[in-house]
Amino acid sequence: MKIRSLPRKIFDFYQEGFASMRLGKKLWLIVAVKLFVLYVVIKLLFFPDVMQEQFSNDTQRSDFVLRQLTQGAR
Amino acid sequence: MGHIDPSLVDWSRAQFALTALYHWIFVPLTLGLTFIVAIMETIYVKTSDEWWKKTTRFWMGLLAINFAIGLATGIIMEFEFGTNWSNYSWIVGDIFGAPLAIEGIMAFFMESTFFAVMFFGWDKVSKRFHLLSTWLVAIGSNLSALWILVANGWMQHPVGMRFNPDTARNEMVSFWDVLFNPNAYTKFLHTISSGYVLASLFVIGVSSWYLLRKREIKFAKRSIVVAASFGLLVSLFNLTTGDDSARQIAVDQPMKLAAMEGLYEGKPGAEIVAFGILNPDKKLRDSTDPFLFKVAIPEGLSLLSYHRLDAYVPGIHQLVDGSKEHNILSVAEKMKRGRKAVEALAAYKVAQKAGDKEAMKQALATFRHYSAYLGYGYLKNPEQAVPPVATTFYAFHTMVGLGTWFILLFFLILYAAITDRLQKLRWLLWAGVISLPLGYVAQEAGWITAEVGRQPWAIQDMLPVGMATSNLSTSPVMLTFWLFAILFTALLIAEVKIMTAQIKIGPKEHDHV
Repeated sequence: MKIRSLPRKIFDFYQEGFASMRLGKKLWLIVAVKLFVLYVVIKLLFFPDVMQEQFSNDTQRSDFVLRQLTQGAR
Repeated sequence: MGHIDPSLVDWSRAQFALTALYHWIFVPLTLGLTFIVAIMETIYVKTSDEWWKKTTRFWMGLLAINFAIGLATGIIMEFEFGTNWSNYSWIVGDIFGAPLAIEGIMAFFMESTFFAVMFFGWDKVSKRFHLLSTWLVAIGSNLSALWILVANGWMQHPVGMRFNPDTARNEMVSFWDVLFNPNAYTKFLHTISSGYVLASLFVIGVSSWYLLRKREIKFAKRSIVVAASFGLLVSLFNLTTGDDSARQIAVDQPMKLAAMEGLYEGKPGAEIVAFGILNPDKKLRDSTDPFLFKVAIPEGLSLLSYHRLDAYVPGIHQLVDGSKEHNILSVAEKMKRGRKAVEALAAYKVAQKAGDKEAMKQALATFRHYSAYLGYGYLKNPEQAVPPVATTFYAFHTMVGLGTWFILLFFLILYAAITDRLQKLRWLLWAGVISLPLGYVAQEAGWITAEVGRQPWAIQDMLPVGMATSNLSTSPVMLTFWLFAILFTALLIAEVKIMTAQIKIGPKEHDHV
């Protein structure tokens, strides 16, 4: 019984907390829009992981960086 | 190696600087305000005075606004690491990854549990458990900053690692050396205490505005007493951590120290410039006076840097051209040694491909011998080792000048509050209001000093920024620079608008966030 009531209590705590928010609702909206813009728009469109995209394994990545490091100054 | 457009390096740096500077508008207020709120709630629990509960909840509301708007603004820097700074990310991955992963896990657990209790738990959990949650949020937020600054401290003074020529990565050999890197913990203490100063200025600024408007008198006076007491204590602590940090810079990054002080000619008993205007015509190695005007304290720099009045402090000329007398290698000599390290690394790879174990061993020994100078091997000329002197000098002096003013302000406001003369001294209340934006200026100036002063290095002496960038086209970096500029400006406008709206409403109507 106790094991079941604890998650329920935690759920109710968060639910009541969110429900009683006033300014917080506007803040959560800002957070949600911001996270969407950051992760869905900016990250996906403009910020690929260059090493992951260009090479298929760590050996290739190491070789690439070593070539960069050993072929002189920029 | 593909040709890297120098403008790509500049745009990548500009983008990172923009992101970091905007991110740093939000973070220090959270670091400090959590403690001020915890102190106020402690007074409430001790006294059971409902006024303190109301006071605590008002400032907690403003903390929530700042936290929500600032949330995840730092994540953009991680995007930039993977895209614009992929060489750097690969080379430092193992060192940088651990502190940042710890920070992420800590922040998640802290924010999803104790933050919720702090905001939702009023009248639902016991007073003491709520207070404990508030303190844990304050401590947890600051511990998050620890891991970020451990990573930054490593870039300023790389320790506890070893470069693996097989993987082209630095590997951690001592977690404790990384964690207790003197550059990291002095920077951590100085940075978080500067956040406490800013939060104190924030509370004083808002409360002073109420007093000027003859509103919320009791609330404002009480808030000012807490903030000014806290501000005075932490600004004195900030002064000592700044001293520690500068002494560490004197040891690890003497070029940065010379730039911070506009010191071109080293000398024993070097003076410290309290106020100065640099001569824009000054060039490296000429005999022009670096200053058009200055007010200096004799022997101050020697005393502060080495705790000895007669200590020798090297200038930019000695650090570039070397000094046999003071056992300082010239940058040209470091460049020669750096190139030997680069050549040895290349020889190691050739020997590895040929399966020549003896040649690999010899090349590796040569690399290890010269690896402390590796980064110099990528400089084109010794002058590249000099950071932008004017930016570093003015940023440093702005930070120190404002920091000194804040100590005086906290003292005057606290004295006026204790003697109940605060409302009569309107000039002091205006000083409190005006000092709030100045607190942000000091914060940003501190970061500019730390980051511009360490140029040209992404990792001190190991990797210049030009070698750390990815080989990309400049256009997308320019585009995302402006995207971020628009996004962050929108967030800043939202912060200011929501915050000022809540401040205008005042504490009476502010029972729920």
